[in-house]
Amino acid sequence: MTTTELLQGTLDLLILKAISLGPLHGYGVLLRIQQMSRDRLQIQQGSLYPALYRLEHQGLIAASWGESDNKRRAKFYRLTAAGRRRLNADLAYWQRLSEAIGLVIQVEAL
Amino acid sequence: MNLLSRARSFLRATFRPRAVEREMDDDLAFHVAERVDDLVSQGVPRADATRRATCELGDPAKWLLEGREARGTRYVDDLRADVVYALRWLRRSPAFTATAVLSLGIGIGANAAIFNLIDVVLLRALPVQDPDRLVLLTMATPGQEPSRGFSYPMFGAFERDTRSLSGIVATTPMRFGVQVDGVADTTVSGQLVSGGYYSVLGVPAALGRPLQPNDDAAPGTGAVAVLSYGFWQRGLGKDPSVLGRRIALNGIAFTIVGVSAEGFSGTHVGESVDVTVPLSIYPLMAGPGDAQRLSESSNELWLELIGRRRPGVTDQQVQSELAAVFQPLFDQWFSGPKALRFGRRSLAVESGSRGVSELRRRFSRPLWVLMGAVGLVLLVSCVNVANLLLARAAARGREMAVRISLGATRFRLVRQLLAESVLLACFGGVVGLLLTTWTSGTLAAILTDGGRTLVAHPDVRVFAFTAAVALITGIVFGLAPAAGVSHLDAGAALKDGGRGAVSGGRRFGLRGILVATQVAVSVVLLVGASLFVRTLWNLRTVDLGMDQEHVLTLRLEPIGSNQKRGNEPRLRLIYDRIVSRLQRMPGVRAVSLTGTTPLSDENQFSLNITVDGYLPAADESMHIRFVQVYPGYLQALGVRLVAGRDLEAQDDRPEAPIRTVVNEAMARRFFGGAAGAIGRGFTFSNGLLNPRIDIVGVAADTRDRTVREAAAPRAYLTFARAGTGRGQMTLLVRASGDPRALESTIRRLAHEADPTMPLFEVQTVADRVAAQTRQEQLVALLTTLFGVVAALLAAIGLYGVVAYTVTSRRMEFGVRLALGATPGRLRRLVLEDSLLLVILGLIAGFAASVAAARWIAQMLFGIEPFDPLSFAASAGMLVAVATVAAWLPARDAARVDPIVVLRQV
Repeated sequence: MTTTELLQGTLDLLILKAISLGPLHGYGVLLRIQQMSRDRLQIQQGSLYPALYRLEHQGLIAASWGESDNKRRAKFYRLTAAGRRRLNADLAYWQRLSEAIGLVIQVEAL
Repeated sequence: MNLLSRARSFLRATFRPRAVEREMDDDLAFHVAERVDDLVSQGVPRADATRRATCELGDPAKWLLEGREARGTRYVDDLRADVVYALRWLRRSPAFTATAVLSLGIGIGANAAIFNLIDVVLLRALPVQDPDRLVLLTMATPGQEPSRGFSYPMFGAFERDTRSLSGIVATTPMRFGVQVDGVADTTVSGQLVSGGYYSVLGVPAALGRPLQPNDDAAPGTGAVAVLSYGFWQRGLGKDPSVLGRRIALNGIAFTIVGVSAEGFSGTHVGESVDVTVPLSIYPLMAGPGDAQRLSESSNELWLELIGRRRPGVTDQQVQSELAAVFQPLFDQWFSGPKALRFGRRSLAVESGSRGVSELRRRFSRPLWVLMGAVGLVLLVSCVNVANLLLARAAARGREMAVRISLGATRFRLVRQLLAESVLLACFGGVVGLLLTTWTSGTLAAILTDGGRTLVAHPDVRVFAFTAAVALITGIVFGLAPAAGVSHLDAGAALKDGGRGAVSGGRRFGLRGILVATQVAVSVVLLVGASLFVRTLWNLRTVDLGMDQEHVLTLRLEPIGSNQKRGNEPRLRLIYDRIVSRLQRMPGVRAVSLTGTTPLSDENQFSLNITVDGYLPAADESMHIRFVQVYPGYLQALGVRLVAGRDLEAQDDRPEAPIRTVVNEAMARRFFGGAAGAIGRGFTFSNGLLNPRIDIVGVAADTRDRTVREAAAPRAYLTFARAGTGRGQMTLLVRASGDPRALESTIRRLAHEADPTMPLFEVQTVADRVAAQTRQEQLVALLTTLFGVVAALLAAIGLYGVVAYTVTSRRMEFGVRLALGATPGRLRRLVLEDSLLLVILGLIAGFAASVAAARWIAQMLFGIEPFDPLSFAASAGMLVAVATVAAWLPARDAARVDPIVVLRQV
């Protein structure tokens, strides 16, 4: 199975999308992203955390303490209202971008 | 919202770094634990799983750092590193740090202390609501100081007719002998105010209620009192049960109804009011027959008026509106002979935001002079620290070069150096604030003649000022060494390594210029200080024409003495009793009474006279000052009799012919000298006392108004026929020994004569001179202190520069010695170079002193601004100190061992 390096600046979007389906702890975010991408994206595991803190700093996600499935205390992150707005804006952007790039690629193929 | 969350997480990361880091650690640990569980459940052995999980996570330290940066703490972290490094660096060199902090502390502290005084005396607004809208009413007379007294009917008319003021209040000061619960306290300063006082000024009560308009109703009613917060605290120990208690003021019972807000002590800065009562009670306080002052026909000018402008109204509008009310009233009452005495006055309006202050008038110039002086002191101490830093910067060249080679940007290094200097300045600021806090009470006491009447705690404005000064100082003196780093040649510095190669050419360079500047500034301060010290000396030793040491003056204010004529027989009896009792007292040489305290401005009255056989020039003023005295005045005050005789008991009888003693100035002016005056006479031009006034004696000239003012023509009269009544008097007791020793006996005898009589201001004439020259004392004391400090700092600076130069020229000196120079020659070489700096500084300093001396010329007394002695003394002192400072390193230069030095090459 081949994995793809993450495009610069897309980690934030993936985290927001992962959390938008429900609160997750840090490790859960990793699993969710891997699951959603069907293990095709390669993420350096630790780099998840500075990204989470940056999003929290910006007020896009909020953290609260909870308990994991294995009965461990962990910080759970959830989307804030501002985070949801940002996610929608980013998704729309990516949609447009990937469509446009898709078109270009198809033209090349002709 | 976004900003809010950023700020919150930034502050948390900045101020609770441990907690934030622990949370991040927990996050990572949890991650690894979960991952290990997952891997184990997939069948990986636990040991392998742990290793793999840790590996997959990457370097936790990196994530922690990035996690912190994600919270925007990069600059704070760098700053913290700068500060920590600077602290470590300062701790490593305690002698340098102590010197720098101390000299900055002195410089900043001196500035903060003087600024505090300026703030308190000149700048601070009254602690009332909207002080900017307060106005003071004054009466202006052409060619005279404006007066503040208005009559009761004038107050009534203003209050009734004004549209531009939302309120106007009348106040008059009065001193009260206070008794609470039968316990006698001291005399306090109090005031009587119209009922709207507290509501118009907008001052609430801290306890109970303030005075209200219905307290100030019919004359003779309203025996309620409001205490100042300060008096409540000081005199009654903040007793909360004070409301409703009785307080006796000059023997009359009042009910305490309130305590005014903390910080408010009346509208007179530097003369705090302790007890405030309604104006309507005045007739009871003043004695029988005095209700007249509160009548609609009174023309006594005794009330100070303060108004509050309506919003949007200007001072000009207030003035023109009130002037229209004032002028007809004034013209109506002050016509005829009275007009001669008062002149025509017009109404003027001044800003009242900062209240009224005699202190402000007296001290505003001296305080600005002192502010200038402390500015110079700060300059000297800044230059000193800059100099120290430059010397260290040279020594740290290698360190800086290493850091540049290792990749530090120059900006980072400059920031590092600035962090160090600002840190030094901040420590200096703390030391300065401590100095200010400790000295503020003392300085305020000097300002107010030892009274507790001026609250001089540094306020927020002073703290802000100090912080600003410290910050600016730190940046300014830090810039010089920082500039050096920004064009440092790392390669050369590393190669040279501070081994001290021969550095010909520039002897002292920038640091020499700095030292010369210090010397110049010190000269200015020392010249100023010697001028002020000599001024003070001249004032304290000038011959006043009276006995300063042995005469005790006491102010007597018997009940009813405000109403002179009505109480004349009773007052005369009281005064006669006092004089006759005191005259029999052992140790007393002479006793007299006067309406005008020596060295005061009170009760001066002056009239135009017509002198027999003297034809005045067309524009000559024949206005002469008169002093009313009891017989024996000259002897009691120790004034020399030049010709004729003193006024005696026979001259004090109502039926006696009117006799007078004139001073020499008057005898010279009208009669060609003392001898020619005896037997001559004059009359009042207004026909007040028709018979001729005969001159029986001539007294020596006295400076009895102010120490600075030479004697003007004046005449002494008894009270017998002058038609003014006696009123309040000053008792003069001349003792053969120390007059202070007689004080308690005098008090006892005076109270035997009148048990209810308040007795104030017990002072010797010398005390009064001291009080009158308080501002000169303050200025002389502080400028001397500042001058000496500046000179010492300059000497330290010089020592530092010369010592440093000698160290870096050791090799050169070694070579010179090897080539045959004698140690003495080397010593002279260093000394000459150093003194050259001092002389350059002296020249610049003299030039600046000439400008400064002109500025302070009017504060001097008995001395020229360009007093050669002061200039020479300052130069002498500086050269002496500088020689010592330069001699120490010069001696080291002579002790260089050529063999040791040359081997190091």
